[in-house]
Amino acid sequence: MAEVRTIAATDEISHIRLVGRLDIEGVGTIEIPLTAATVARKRPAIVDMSGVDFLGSIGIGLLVRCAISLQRSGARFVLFGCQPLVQKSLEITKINAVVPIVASEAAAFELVVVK
Amino acid sequence: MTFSLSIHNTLAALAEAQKLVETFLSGHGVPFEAAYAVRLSLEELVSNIIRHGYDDREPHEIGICLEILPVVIELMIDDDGRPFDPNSAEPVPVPASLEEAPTGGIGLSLVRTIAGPMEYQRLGNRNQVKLQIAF
Repeated sequence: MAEVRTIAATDEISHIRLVGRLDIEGVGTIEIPLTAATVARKRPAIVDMSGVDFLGSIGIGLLVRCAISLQRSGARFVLFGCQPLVQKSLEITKINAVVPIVASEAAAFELVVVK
Repeated sequence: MTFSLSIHNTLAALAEAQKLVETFLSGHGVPFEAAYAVRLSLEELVSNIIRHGYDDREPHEIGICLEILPVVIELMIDDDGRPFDPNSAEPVPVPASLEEAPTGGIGLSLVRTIAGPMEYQRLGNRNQVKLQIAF
């Protein structure tokens, strides 16, 4: 199972945390709330991935679709804190070439907050 | 130690199978990385079979067999879908932009890299894929 937790939803940023398994079942549970918490708000989004302990291709597809939709609204979508195998999955599929993936929350903020 | 089951070609059946496999692997002390590779392989290979393997809407049986050996877990999946060698899938190219990033068709690349090579055979009217996942 998977879960979306909103950490902050301000005019400057959407900060959310994903927890659980982003497999077929997990994506079915979180697709709508994740889209609502990020894409629908049209704000830069940082996504804490530290609680995601499985990422399948369907989960990668969902993250990419959110990133693309936010980009069309002029906002960035940044992932941070990936567990090693999750990070490896994003690198194998070359998603890290086009979606920023950083180690920490602070680094994610740096990428999205305009000073 | 061997665990085998046969499931119907539905995503709900796959989800139930994943739970049973997880229980089997954790009950035998399989390390996290190897269990992850097994889970990923089942997720990607079996969901591909369910979604793309059949020309009809009839129920079909997909066989899953796991054997824990001294240094590897052997995973075998067989089905009566269309002939399909998962090794024939193209590698994922580096997207030139976010708009070109893949939202699908990447599962087999994941399996190949995280779980290892896939051995494929067509036996009669069944596909058989075997992986040896090291731990």
